[in-house]
Amino acid sequence: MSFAAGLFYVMAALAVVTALGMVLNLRNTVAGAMCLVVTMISLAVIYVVLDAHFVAVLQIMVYAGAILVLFLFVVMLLNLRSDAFTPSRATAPKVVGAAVGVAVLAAFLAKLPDALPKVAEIPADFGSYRQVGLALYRDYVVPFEVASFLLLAAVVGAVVLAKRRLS
Amino acid sequence: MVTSTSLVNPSVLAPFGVVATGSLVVLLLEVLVGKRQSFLGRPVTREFVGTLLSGVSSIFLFIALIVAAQFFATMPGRIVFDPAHPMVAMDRLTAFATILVCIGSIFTCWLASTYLDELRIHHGEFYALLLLASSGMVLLVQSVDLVTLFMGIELMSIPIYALAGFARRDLRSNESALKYFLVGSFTSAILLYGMALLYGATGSTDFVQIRQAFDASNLLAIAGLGLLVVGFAFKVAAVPFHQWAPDVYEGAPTAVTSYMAVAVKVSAFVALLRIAIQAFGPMDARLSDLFWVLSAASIVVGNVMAVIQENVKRMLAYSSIANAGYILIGLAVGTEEAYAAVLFFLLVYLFMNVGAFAVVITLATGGKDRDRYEDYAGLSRTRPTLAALLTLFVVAQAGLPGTGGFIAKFILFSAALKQGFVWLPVIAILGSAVSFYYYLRLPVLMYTRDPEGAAPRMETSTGEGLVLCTCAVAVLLLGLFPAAGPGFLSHFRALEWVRETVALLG
Amino acid sequence: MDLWTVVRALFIILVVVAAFAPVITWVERKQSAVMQDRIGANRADIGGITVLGLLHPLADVLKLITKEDFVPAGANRFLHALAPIIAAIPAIIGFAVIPYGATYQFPGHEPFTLVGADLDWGLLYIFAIGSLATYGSVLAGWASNSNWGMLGSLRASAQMISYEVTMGLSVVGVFMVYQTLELTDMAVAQDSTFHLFGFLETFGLVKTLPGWLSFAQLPFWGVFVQPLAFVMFLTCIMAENKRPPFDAPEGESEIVAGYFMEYSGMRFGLFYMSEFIEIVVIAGLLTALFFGGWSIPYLSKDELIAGMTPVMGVGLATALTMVAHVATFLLKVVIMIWLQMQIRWTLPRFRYDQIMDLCWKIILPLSLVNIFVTGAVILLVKGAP
Repeated sequence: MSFAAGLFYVMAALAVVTALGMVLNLRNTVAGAMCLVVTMISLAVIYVVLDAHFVAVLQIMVYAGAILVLFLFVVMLLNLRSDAFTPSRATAPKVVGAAVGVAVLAAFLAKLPDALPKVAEIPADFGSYRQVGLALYRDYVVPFEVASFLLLAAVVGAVVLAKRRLS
Repeated sequence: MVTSTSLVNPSVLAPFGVVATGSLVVLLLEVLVGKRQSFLGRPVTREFVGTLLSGVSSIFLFIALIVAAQFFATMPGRIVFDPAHPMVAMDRLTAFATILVCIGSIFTCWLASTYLDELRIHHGEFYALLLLASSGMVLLVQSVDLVTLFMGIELMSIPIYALAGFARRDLRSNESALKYFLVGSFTSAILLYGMALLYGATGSTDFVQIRQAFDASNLLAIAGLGLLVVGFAFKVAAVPFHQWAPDVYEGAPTAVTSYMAVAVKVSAFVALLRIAIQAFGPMDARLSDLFWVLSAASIVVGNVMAVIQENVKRMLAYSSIANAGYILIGLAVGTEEAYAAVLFFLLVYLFMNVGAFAVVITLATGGKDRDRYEDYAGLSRTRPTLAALLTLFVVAQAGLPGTGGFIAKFILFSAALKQGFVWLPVIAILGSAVSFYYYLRLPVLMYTRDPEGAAPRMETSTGEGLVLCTCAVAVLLLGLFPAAGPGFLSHFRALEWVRETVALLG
Repeated sequence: MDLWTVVRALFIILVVVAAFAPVITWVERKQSAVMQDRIGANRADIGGITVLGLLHPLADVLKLITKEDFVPAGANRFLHALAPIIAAIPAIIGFAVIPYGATYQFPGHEPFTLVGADLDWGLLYIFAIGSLATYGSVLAGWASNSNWGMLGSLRASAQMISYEVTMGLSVVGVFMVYQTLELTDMAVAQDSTFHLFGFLETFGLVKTLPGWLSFAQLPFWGVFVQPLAFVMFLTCIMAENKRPPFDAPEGESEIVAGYFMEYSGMRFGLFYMSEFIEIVVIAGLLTALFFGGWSIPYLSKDELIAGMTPVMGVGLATALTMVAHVATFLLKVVIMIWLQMQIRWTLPRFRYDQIMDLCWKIILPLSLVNIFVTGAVILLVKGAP
């Protein structure tokens, strides 16, 4: 097993474990958010193993570094403690849901190795910021520009819902 | 990968550009005008601001509508933005859907300006968010690429999350916004995962290339397709992904509810139509089965649940779930005739639903909606015209001959029967029979009972009147003369238009 | 990964970071004393010999190590212990991409660059690492189970992520001018000079620059071609480091000690040290981006080597140039540290809403204007592609 494959397995296991830690962790919200941070960082390492360096750095800079800090900020501001959430008592939906989910996942994973596409040839400067920039500003320029309207809509919507004075 | 600029067609993005620019203009206008004492010689009151903003929004939407109509009338084929990477395309289907979306948005603008005043909600950024959502819908119906499709869905949904919670003092509105936001976020995640799997299986995000590379035995491709359809089923509230719809529709301000029930469904269905036609050729049989199940479940659940409702808005929500079921019949059948029937149904559905919601809006007064059944008792004595219009709209939704609803259901079911689908039309007809009950409850209440409770609003504003008249005329026109009427009416050849649209899709 | 690479990386981290940081605590005390017309700390001695107060950093470390290390009641012990480490690590490894020397080739050997790691996306690494440092401050206050700590954490998190945005935007102009994200290439690009009045020739006002005007040449440094970016970046990165005047998160007069209030002993020492190590990193970054890095003004590397080769041979010339470059770099870093200290001891603390206003209402629009103007100038000078 090469170093890259070994690193991938370690990081993948870490990502799955911390993701589960975030989802199943009902007691401590901050611990859940930190689990998510570790998930994001392990995903970034997987991106590096896949030669997508620029996306890996962006993942850390944007996701782990800014968005999750914002999550933590909101959690701390609202002081969400564990006793604020009362988990629902109905166990039947949870059991059925978990069973169906696990069954679908198992069926998916059983047939997955045959369905994977062949490994493609990648150009030498794959994943560099130049390639990503060219793809973003030439091929995918329409969704890129639309994203700015999307951000405007989100900002306007957030301010409308949360501003103090209703004037 | 170098693209020379001469091959790019910016005119494809003209409707989107107009609507998006309109949202920016309206946003700035609200800031500049709201603080002044007088503007253009009139005193700046809240009603004036509302009228001004809704007027400016309607102007931009009209311009987009005219551009789309121009495309519709003159264009034979399809032009894409960039032949190397077609992100968005303009063809007859896009133009048709853009026209429908613009009409729905204009109606919402006209209705909202009075409604927000009646409910004492500050107008603020309502119209800017509305225009942003409309631009998202225009992008959605234009997209021929998975990435643009996702951007369109997001741009459409996010302003509506905020719009659903616009009545900030009302707890039901807050609940509606929160539920819609949470379910919408899940939907986006599911859609994105499906798109990622599809990209992994086919190596491209473009619809045409996906169709060429689609291998129906590939697990990733099937899983991606399934997740994509599930995501869309969430958006159009098909059963079993409909749980959010009644609460969200009931809690949101009624102007926003009508916008959600009509425009979101129209654009989502057109996008689904385009995906089904362009992207998934070899899966036709299995896709048809999937749509069959969704359609049958939606018709049954929608109609049965609507019977027991006490709130008109919730009833209309369940009826729109049932209508989504009818539309999915057309997608399940999969012939050109069925697709044409789907487009005609969407056209009629727009006018019927907006009309029904417009009546509810016109009755709102005193800071509250009048959306319980008891509020409609004896309406024929206090507001006879409104009662007659409401009767027309619910009867059209039920499918009485002579109205557009009947023609729409008729051509839809006959297309299904022609393809050999027997059970689906049977279920649909049974569902329509059930729907007669809950639809006709309203006229019975209006005409046979005495008025009770507080008096409804007595005045109808110009905007509301215009919307009501246009919808009523359209429903009757589409019902009596769907193909081509005598004299002046021969200009409105709805059936022919939709048939041409689908024929040129390919 | 051979020994030579490890030595190059460790040199900068051990020598510069670990050696400079304690000295900076002395610099802070002495510089503030000079500015405030007093003597400063000079009592620490070994056997009666005080060395102008240079033993105080040693005394500080000894004191911090021997102090009681407590965790407040009700605190989250794991996060309380983790926070100082998360704050310290990004500061220490931040220096890895800053070049402290150029690429040298000794005859008979491979060319090598004096830098910790020559990454394609060098500057983004620093931004990414810096954004991870936020968690140290955010978690410290939360884990302390203390009101003042929580307030300091909230302020720290909001301030740091706000200034990250403007930090990135203000250097976009620098990227556009030098056309690269690699700090090594940027230093090489800054090794040349440009004519101050060259714009006359570009815009066709004169055919060729007359001799007496072409003497006015400036090194192609970031501070001369992007002055606004320099001012904005300096502001943003000082705010990111939470140094006065941006030390609202640890505002001593308002919220006692802010987010590291419940920390003592070496845990506090880690926070304290990481702030000073980050001063060195900031100085290194400012040098690399705006002041030419290792380059000596008006003497480019090739000129130097070519000039000295006839006298002493290529090998010795390269070695001397290397030493000169490293010395220049360290000198510039020292000047930048002095500059930061000056600012720290001159300005009083900004109010928190003033800090936020400065970021979002002043620096953000200005950085966007800077990008537009830079783009326009580049288009005019180089012509459309």
